Amino acid sequence: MAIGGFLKHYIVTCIRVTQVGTLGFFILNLGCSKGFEGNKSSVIEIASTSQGDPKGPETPESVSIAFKQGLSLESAEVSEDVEIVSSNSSEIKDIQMSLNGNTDRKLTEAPFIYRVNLVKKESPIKVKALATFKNGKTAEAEITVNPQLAGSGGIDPSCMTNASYDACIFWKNPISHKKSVFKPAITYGQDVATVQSYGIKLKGLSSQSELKSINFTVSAKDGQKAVPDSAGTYKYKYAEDSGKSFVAQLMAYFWMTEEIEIIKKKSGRFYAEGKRVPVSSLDKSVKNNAYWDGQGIVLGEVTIPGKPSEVALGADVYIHELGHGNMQYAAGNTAYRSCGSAAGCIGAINEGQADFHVALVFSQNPVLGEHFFNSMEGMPGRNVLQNHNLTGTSAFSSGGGEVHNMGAVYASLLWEMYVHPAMSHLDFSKMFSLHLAMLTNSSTIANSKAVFESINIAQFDGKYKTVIDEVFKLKGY
Amino acid sequence: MSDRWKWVSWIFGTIVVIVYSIIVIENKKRMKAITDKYRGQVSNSSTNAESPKSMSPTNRASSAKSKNSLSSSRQVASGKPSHSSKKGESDGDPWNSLERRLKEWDPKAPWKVRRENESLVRAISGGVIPAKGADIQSVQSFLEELGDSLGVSTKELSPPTRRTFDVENIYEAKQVIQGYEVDGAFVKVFSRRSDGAIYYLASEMKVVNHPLLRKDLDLAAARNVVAPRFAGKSFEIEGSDSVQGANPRIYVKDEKYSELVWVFIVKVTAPTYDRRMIYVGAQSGQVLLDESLLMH
Repeated sequence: MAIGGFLKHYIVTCIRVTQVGTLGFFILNLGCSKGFEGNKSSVIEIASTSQGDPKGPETPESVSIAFKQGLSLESAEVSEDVEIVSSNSSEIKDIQMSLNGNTDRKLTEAPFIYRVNLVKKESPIKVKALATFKNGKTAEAEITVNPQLAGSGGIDPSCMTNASYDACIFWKNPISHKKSVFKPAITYGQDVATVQSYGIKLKGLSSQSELKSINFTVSAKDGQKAVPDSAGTYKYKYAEDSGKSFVAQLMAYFWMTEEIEIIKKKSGRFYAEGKRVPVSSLDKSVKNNAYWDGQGIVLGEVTIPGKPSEVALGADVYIHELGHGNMQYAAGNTAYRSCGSAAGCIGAINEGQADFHVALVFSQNPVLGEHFFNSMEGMPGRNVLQNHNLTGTSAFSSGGGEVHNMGAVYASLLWEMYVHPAMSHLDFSKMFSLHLAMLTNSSTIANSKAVFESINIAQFDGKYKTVIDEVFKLKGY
Repeated sequence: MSDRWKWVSWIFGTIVVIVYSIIVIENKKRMKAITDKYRGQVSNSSTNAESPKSMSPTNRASSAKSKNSLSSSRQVASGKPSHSSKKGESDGDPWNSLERRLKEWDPKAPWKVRRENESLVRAISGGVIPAKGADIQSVQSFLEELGDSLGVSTKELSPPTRRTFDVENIYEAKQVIQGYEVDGAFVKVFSRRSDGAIYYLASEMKVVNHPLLRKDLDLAAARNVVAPRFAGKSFEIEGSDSVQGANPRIYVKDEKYSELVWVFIVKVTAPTYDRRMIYVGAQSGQVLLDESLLMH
């Protein structure tokens, strides 16, 4: 297959010149983006020119390697699509990729999509491409990819005194932020100042005096309504938060706002946007649980690790709950009953897709329930990173048709399609959002394959058939 | 009666029962064979494709005629077609006409028709149907063209509404009988915005047999049925939820029982949080459904 396509819309931020090969100079344009910030894209472009030719390039051989990270910050989390295009592709034989000096895939067929898997990676990664032309010439380019945490905030130990932040909360949850568990488990009013360092700007507030936007109104049934301090910010220390639950409210407001923003950037839509969802960040009548109640979100009190605290300290929980809301506004009201067979049912699909909302937002760390269980592994059985081999049959025979149990199969199915080497993350994000509206009460995990196939045929020219076939087979369907 | 006559009548009765059973079993086998045959036709789209010419106006009229009465659609939906049909026959058989139409629209597509209880269509996928989803009128015509191929009468469908997104339009028509919406019953048609091609159809249409449609209880009276269920709890019967309307809807408990119901949402705040949906029969006054809306 000939290499084809055009390089466009990419921003080259700096240029280096180097000599590669023996017959000519190769101009190597190296994009100098600082990772995944903003909406810029980084580009590596390798082009060959004939030495000393006053007319310019004699042979238009070129290979451009575009790091398609510009669509959104978050889309870069799990992996990066590297699209290679050329103005004279027939001259290229292959491109050898390497990561941090280690040889990786050799790209021999066009269109090239090379992915850098960033799951659980936080250090910069050097991506290098060595192109070999059919005439024997070579050209190479390199770029550094900096994985960054999901979310528009940033970890800053001096967050509380830094005037550029509205509030200081936890990244995802205290466990994820700390990268270790609490001994003993975190509880109301505990001094966690060293961990409460994720500085944020609050977005979309429709009022300067409460956590309210067109998407949410956040309060706490068993706390006080969060209001700005005298400086007009929401910088409240968790150590002084007992009985107020301000930090939990801020966590809920910020992370659900991010959820909408991130998923919209990836997939183009969020069905529950603008629905003014009421959120109660602490209702102590609800123990070790949280709900989407058909209209709003109610978050309870977690006691499982031994000491009580707000469920709302874990962003993954209400990102999941809002996932239920997103599906409701996409598909309408659907049944929520146990499945009668390994084929699954709409209730399991609902649970699985809600889990996948967490994976879409925190693709780099899609674990669910770390705070809830005070565990780095999160909720047993719900970790998509550990459920690769989970099938509908195995889940049903071991745990029955309970919706969360079978939902883990669906979450895993979605995740496996998302991270499949032949799948574009942005395309799957779109596919995922599209499929939500196509689900009905009679949908099962097994027959949802037809939904993905239809989207693939209609919106992606059928190019993901193999991915869909492989993953459904992997899950036993 | 003498012992002799008793024996004769017992033997005769036994023979009648056996013969009747054989007839019933044979009929079921025959219908299953027909069902399998048409399923096979759908899954194997490269064979048995029929010329569009075979879908003559007469055939369409025949098909349309069969869908016009509610009773005929019920007959189809609640069991199996009342007659067999061979490939290519112009007999208005709803299954035959559906597969034939799909092949007309895209002969090479690997069409899939997902059915429930061998008759009700739940999903159509596998190919694209050009232009039929370009606008509301086109979709309405498309649904009329499908007729009772879906397993219930499309005459019961409301005019479609449309939701527009970046790459697709979603049309939804609700099942309505005698002016009342059937709870959770609809057809959704998904079409590509760029060219109006339909690429998926989902149906949750329901078989509604002899629904109880009398309104012996008005909304206020039904409310009085709900409140006592929450005695001793802090609760609020919500009045402005989108789920609860001023009009009752038809709740289909199963194929044998349907009734007009008033829908209530009750938020319980103590002792433990809950939000429940309750259906009260407008005729029977019975609580037909009481389930939590909580998902966790």
